[in-house]
Amino acid sequence: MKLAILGPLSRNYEEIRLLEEATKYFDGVSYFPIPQVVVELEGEEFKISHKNKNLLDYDVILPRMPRSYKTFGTTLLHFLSKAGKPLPIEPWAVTASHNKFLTLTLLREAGIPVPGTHLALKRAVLEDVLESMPYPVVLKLLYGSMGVGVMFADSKQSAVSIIDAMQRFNEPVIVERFVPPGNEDIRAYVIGGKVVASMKRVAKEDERRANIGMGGEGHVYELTAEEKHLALKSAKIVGTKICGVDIMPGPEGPVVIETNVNAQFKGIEKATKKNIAGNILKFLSGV
Amino acid sequence: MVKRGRVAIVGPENVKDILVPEFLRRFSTVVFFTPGNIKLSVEKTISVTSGKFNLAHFDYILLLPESSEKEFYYILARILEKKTKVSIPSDSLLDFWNRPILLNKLSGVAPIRKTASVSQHVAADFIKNEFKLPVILTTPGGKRVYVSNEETLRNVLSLFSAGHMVSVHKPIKKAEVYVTFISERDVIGYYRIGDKRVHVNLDSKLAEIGQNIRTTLGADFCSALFVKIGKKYYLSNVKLLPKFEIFKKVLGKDLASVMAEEASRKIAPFDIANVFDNVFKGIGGIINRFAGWMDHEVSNTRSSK
Repeated sequence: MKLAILGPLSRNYEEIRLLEEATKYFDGVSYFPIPQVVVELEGEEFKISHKNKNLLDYDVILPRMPRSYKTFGTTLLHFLSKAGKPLPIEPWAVTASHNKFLTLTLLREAGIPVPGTHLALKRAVLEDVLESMPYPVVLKLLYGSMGVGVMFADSKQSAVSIIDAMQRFNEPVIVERFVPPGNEDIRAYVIGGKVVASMKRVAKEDERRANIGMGGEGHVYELTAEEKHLALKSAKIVGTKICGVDIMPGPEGPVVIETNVNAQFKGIEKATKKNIAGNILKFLSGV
Repeated sequence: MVKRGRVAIVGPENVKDILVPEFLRRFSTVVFFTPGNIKLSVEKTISVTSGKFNLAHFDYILLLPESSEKEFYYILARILEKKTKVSIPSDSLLDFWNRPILLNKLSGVAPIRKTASVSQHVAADFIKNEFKLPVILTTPGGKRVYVSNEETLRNVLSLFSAGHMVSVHKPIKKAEVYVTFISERDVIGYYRIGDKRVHVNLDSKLAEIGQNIRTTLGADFCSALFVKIGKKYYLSNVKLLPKFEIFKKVLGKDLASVMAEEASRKIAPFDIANVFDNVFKGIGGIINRFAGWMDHEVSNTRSSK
């Protein structure tokens, strides 16, 4: 079987690891930088190519879709799916997972506990929320990753100034209820309906965001039965078989705060010593 | 005319005065919202509110989205379509601003010209070799740029960072463009060449294609642009926000009135069949409708004091 990895222009740790492990499970593997792929349509026919290679000649596709490639990535997956290629991520899941509010909507509809969250284009609409929510609150841009775009406000005045600054990005603003303790969370890595690794992420001193990208530290962690159930169900709800699910162990029980269709795994491989790349490829190969 | 039902219109401010008066002729309550006035909330329940209004309590929601807030409208539609009638399904909105997906979705019912989608300046060689210059580039924001030389091609493509999608197709000399507005009962349009716009009686084939586009999208209304090449009409674009003033000027047709009339047919009268429908959907359906009606009536009573 031949594997095509669709990924960013510059390969990160994850893409390099995947290419390293791929030859153990596939007869051939090619890497396609998403920005260099072309989609051609004529009537109902379509082609997806990179230089002289036709992506439809590959048996298995592994998408690694950063937020910046969301739209084009969705397009590629749409046509690959239409061509009958099995995908670990539903095309719509790329949009859903990179839209924080939409993710929470999907999860809440399915009965998964999530933090109380509000979304608006203008600060004035959020006045009643800012008045009534207990502080601190979490403020986020609709699209963000690795902790970038996540801010905390300890008072209404502080929240108002932060939102006013955020609105310069012309993006909707999210106001989210803070789930204590706030400086740690759990990352579960789901592959093919199983949690293959999980870690607790602890924020560095003077930081509330526990993301590894923000300097957080990962420690191996065994999920409770409830946390495992939430992780598996969340991945299924957002339409992806390969997913990082972030859970906060709140005082009233765990809540899911985010799902990540392009979850990095450098930190979790280091913390847990589990071979995430190998697990992904093993799953895709059907072994 | 008996006025009944409550309609919420969500769109840009500049269409408020065009739509609201016409809708008020047919509906007992019409409230106009801009996206900036709406709050979406996920708590124990999921809601869409604006001030004292809960949009789920309206009988019909007319969405007139613009590309600048496309994902906000998508979430809006997705939440509301589970609770009330919405003028376009959310899964169509999700695809709507993704040009290749939209064109491919409609390719079964409308002829589509050869189009490419690329996302970086390195695609310039592909465009040059496969399409040959000149080409028309459609940017992520929907702007069209005529490109006749390689330097301009590379410059335009490099304006967009990797991952932003640009569509490419060949320009047509002396393009005959047909701009249509499609509702369930009618397809009307005008012919545009250069700056000139002319009222035409659309041929039945074009009208049929237009209706097929509308039903494929599941939309109550849409506006489709066609380019005529030889005897064939090719779909060029679809919009959900029509140009009301131009249709009025060229065709003498008030699209707001057309939309209001069509929307009034979407709201079923309160009758025994409607009650049984709610029973079969569960007691929750009746309770929600009653709560919504009460909330509305109490609000009206308060505001009238």
